[in-house]
Amino acid sequence: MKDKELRMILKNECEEPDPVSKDSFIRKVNGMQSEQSLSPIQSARSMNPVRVLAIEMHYIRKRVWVFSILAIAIMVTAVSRLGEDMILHISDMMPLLAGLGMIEVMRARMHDMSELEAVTLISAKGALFARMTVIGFGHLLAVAVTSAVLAGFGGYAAPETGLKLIIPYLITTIICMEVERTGFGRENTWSCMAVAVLVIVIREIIYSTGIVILSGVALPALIAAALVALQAAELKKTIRLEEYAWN
Amino acid sequence: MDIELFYDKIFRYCYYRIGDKATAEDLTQETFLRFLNADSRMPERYLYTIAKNLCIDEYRKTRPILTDETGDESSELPGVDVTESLVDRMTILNAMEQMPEEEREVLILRYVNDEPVSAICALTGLSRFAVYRRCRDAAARLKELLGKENYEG
Repeated sequence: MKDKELRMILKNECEEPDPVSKDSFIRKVNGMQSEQSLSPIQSARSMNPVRVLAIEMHYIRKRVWVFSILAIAIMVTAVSRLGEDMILHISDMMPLLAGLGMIEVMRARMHDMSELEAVTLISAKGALFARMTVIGFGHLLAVAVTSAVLAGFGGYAAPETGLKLIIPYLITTIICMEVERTGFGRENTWSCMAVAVLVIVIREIIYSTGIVILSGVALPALIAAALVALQAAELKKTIRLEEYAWN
Repeated sequence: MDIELFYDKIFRYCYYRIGDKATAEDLTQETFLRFLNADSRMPERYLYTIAKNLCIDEYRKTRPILTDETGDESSELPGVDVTESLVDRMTILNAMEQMPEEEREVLILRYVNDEPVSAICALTGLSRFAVYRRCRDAAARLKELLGKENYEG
């Protein structure tokens, strides 16, 4: 007897389940499943914020996190070895970090990827906001760690260092959000990096000519506060834009 | 999940392990109910795991008719008015009953339900080579047993 014959025998000699009983059971199970399945609203409620953030974190490409860690390492090493003055040059990395983050934030919207990611569970607006939160907090943490490390090792004032790092970051993100709303910006992902480079150039020019000197904590803190307010306004616009798109 | 497809597979699995149609149907339905009440993210292969455990429980509760009464039944068969098909079926069930548990399991999965080797590996925890070897041994043993039982197909 060949294997094929054995296979046939085993299949043919097996009794069939009672079709009536089988059919009624399948109907019953399907009914149970449809009752158990959550409605979209219930699903959204079951998605806790931590899970949403975890999902979004998973979608952000590793290069963003790798570059962030690399930037912190370079900034800490350079400033601790070359002196506090270097912070202004080294903080030029912050616009690049912001540009890269903004590309990541807008990537989903540019390629309609938010539709595929979390929109089945939460709104596109929620997905975009979660993505911004993850990247924003990630970078804020990076700035905080850098400032703390520099304060610990070199004796630099942590608030001052933090403000010097955060200001170019905020400027870049605000301009990037504005650019992203234009047709050109939406079609060209790398426009965010162009903005970052522009911010670096302008900053270097300002620093070398000495037009604006950011010393102490009061003035940088004021500028940072204004930028945060602007950032919030831009964020609101971006989020509302999604509503307009739907309407 | 295609319940209809899996229903038949699980039924055949239970049938060849228990040897009784009505009990196999009960166990099949119980398997699905347990699977659906458990974590919905469980892979479908867990249906087999649940079915296997239910079959073991059933075997412990009531030993299959064929195990104890095989000798009597086969001696009575020539005198009983049964169809040839039923005789063949009883012969196969009897032969399956005599097979070692592990071999019978892979035989049902591979030869009756056409499950891929990778799925059997995941279910049994065996390597691919071990599954192939066990399938080959099980088929050889069943052929030998069927030869002894004078199976005529």
